[in-house]
Amino acid sequence: MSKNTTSPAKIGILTFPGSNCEPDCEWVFKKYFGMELVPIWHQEKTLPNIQALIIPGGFSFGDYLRGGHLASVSPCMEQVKEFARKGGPILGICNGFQILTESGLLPGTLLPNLSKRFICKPVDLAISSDGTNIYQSLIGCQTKLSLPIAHGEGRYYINDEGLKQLKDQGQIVFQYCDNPNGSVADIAGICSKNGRVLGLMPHPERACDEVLKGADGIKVFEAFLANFL
Amino acid sequence: MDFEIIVQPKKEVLDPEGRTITETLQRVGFTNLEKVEVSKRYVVSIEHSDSAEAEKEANVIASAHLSNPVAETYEVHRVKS
Repeated sequence: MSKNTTSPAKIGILTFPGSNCEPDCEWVFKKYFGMELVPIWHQEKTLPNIQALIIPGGFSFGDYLRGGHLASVSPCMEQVKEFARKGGPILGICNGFQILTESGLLPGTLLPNLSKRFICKPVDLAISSDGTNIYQSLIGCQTKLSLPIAHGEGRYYINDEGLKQLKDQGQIVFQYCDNPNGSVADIAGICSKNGRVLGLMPHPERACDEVLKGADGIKVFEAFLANFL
Repeated sequence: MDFEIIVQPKKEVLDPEGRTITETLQRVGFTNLEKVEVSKRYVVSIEHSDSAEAEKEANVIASAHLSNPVAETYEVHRVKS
């Protein structure tokens, strides 16, 4: 995944039956980064030549069993795991984050919100200062982001030992300023040990234009891109 | 043959549904009630001549798919038909 200056980056967008946030991601990448995302359907057994992958939000397979599980065993996922193993950058948003935890690409899990209600509202996020990760410098430790959440199963859970590892290894990236769903340690988003796989419950793609009452989402995408470009 | 698979939250994981039901039932007068635990029940039918193999398969289905290993435990019981 080295810097590529000769041709524009190719970023894939992986969808499943029930994904619904891919048009917003496509719009953002076209408008702000001049990139056409490469659509990938979950039944593909091989990935096209891409430098990064986005797994958008939605309700893959109707959230049956639990959010993200049925998608995590789709035909494409073996190749997605292989892509991550080789250091390929992956961004999972909302249901995409759930798919990443269900696939074992990120630790922990996302349980039903403590209130048992679907929560749809803007939230403030802080960049975690536990340990060190690339996003602290790319976004800025003091930066607060305002992004919308829209989920019924967003309560991040990991046991005490796992939480300690996340902190020690700098894997906590985003934390809620006012915890909306009961997540442990106010966790809204985490990354893999190498920082390449990033998952978050809030929707940066829904906050990329001042018309939408804020453009902080662009900072998340810029940081994700700076991670490998 | 049929297997009943019960999936429930691990003891250390907060179960908001169980807690809410417990608190409500206590409030309406069940003062002896200590706790309600909520679980999910699945019944899977597996066609196999070897019952031990069928049970093994039911266990794999329960552990790899029906339960969430991070937050839930499961039990598999053979159901007499």
